[in-house]
Amino acid sequence: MLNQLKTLIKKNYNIDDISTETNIKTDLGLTSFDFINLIATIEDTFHIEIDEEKYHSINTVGDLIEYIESAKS
Amino acid sequence: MKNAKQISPGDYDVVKYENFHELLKGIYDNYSEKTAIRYRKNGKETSITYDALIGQISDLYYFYKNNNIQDCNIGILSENRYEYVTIYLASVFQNVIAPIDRELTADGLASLINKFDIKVLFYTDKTKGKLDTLPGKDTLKLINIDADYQTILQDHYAPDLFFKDTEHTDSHKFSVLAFTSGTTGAIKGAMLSQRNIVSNLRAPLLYMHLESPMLQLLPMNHMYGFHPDLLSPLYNGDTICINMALKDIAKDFKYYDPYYIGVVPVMLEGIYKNIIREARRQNKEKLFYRLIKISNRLRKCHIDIRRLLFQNLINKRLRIIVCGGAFLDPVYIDRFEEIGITVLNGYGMTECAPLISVNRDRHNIRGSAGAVIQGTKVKIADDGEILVKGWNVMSGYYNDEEETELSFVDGYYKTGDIGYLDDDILYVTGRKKNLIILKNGKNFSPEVIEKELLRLPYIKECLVMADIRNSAEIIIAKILLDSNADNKDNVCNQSEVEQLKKDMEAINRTLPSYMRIDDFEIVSEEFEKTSSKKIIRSKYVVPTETRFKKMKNKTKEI
Repeated sequence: MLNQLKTLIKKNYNIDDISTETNIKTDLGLTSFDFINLIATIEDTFHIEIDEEKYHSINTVGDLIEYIESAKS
Repeated sequence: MKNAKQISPGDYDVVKYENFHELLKGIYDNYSEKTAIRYRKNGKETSITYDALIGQISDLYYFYKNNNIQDCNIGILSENRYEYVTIYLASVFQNVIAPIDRELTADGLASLINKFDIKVLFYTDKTKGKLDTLPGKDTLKLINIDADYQTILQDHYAPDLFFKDTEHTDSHKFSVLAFTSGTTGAIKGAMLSQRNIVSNLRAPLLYMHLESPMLQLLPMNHMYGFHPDLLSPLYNGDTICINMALKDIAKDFKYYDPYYIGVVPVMLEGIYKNIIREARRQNKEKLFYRLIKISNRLRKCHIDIRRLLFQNLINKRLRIIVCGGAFLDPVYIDRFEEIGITVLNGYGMTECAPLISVNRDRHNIRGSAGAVIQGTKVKIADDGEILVKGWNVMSGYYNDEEETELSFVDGYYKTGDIGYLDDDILYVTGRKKNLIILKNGKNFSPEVIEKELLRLPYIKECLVMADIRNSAEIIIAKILLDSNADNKDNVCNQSEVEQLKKDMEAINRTLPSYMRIDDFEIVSEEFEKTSSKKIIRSKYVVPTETRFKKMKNKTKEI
């Protein structure tokens, strides 16, 4: 999963150096609009729906992986 | 007339309505068969004609009447959805509608309901979590749009009856309570009349060419997101497509193929970055820039091939983007112009319903906030503050005479912004409270210099301020370098600092002498910001009075 996300972020935002501790909102230099876009890309790639109300609780790449995995199962 | 392009009435003239009764009757008489609103939920599209829209407004109006809901402040706490439109327009006649920010905390909501006498509250499944701990819930009439909306519309009333009953609507009746957080941070409620709003809906349609559909992206509780961005197109008989969640923006662009949209600057930047990202993903970034270069050269010879080259970058039809709400870097106007999309910047205030000035497609002046709208008079005070008077200006703040008195001078509303007029074109240069006042009486907005500095790719954040050094008044810039942002040891990249010195000299050469930056300081941490991501300037800036005092003391020492 981490590798898949790494490729996705690298492809879309040209950012390397990503770990589960990376904070999506502060470490990647994304604006709030970019964040929403990333959510949309992830939804399309993993065929899941991320609840709008959960946005604030998704901070790190680790949180994101956890969310995607629980949404898929 | 075969193949004739469908042109909105706005292209020639726009009917003048004085209040919501006239407006609703006008659109009912003229566009009843046309589609007013389209939206998609769970992949299924619903479209609502003007006929059906007015029908629901009329039903809701009688729901209020039959349930004795009269002279009430009705709050609406909801995400963007079409019911927002019907509830809003049905409430303005016998009641007052108060659109509430969804981002408000539960505590914030409780105090707002109390302070502004909200007696009825519309909420949704998505916002109901905020109501769990709400005190005094039993005295409040709560209506869940998801669960109750269809039920309260069960009884149908003919629009003709509704138009007859609302015939004597007072255009000056206080109808909308628009919330705004003032400079003190406390929420204030601007009282807007029907005439304030309806005249403001018409204003941006004049001298404009618009085609359907438009894609509605901004939050509906904001005056900008609801009035010029949603009710104006309805005034014009256009079709509005509602974007239900911002994450679906790319899909909605393809699906609805809008002719125009309204955005805030951060969205505009995001959309442009997306174009570049997409080009990069397809390994076409270099090609993209090369095509822009060629097209720019051809445009100089009056050959326009932008449609041919860039038509499908975002969607096929998009021609106009209206941008407001915050400062827009004019560079984006150029970037979009290059790909054949016109960005029109505007300026407004919640207290002015909200539009004050806006650029038009045929008269777009880069870097300006456009021409002052009809029925509004703008005056520049001696200290440079933009003052507004006219059809669009509120009567005052709800239950707050003190604030109301402070915000008006000689009948003009004080915007708190600094700017100037050039042949009726308004230019906004910065916030008044940020103004740097120098000992010699010269003053300027630090934002003007900050804007230039932020254009340098290696600068992440900066603040320009006046300070005292060796009893002399100097202008300094505090700068956070992009490369330094995560660097705890604050080790500066020397070549970057050298570059900064050179770039700063270049910027200084373009500025009048009293505005020139004398020195800079590299900081290692981001500046503290408010929840809306604006730097809290007061934390870093030495207040003018303190600065002046410091100077006096120094003079004594000498």
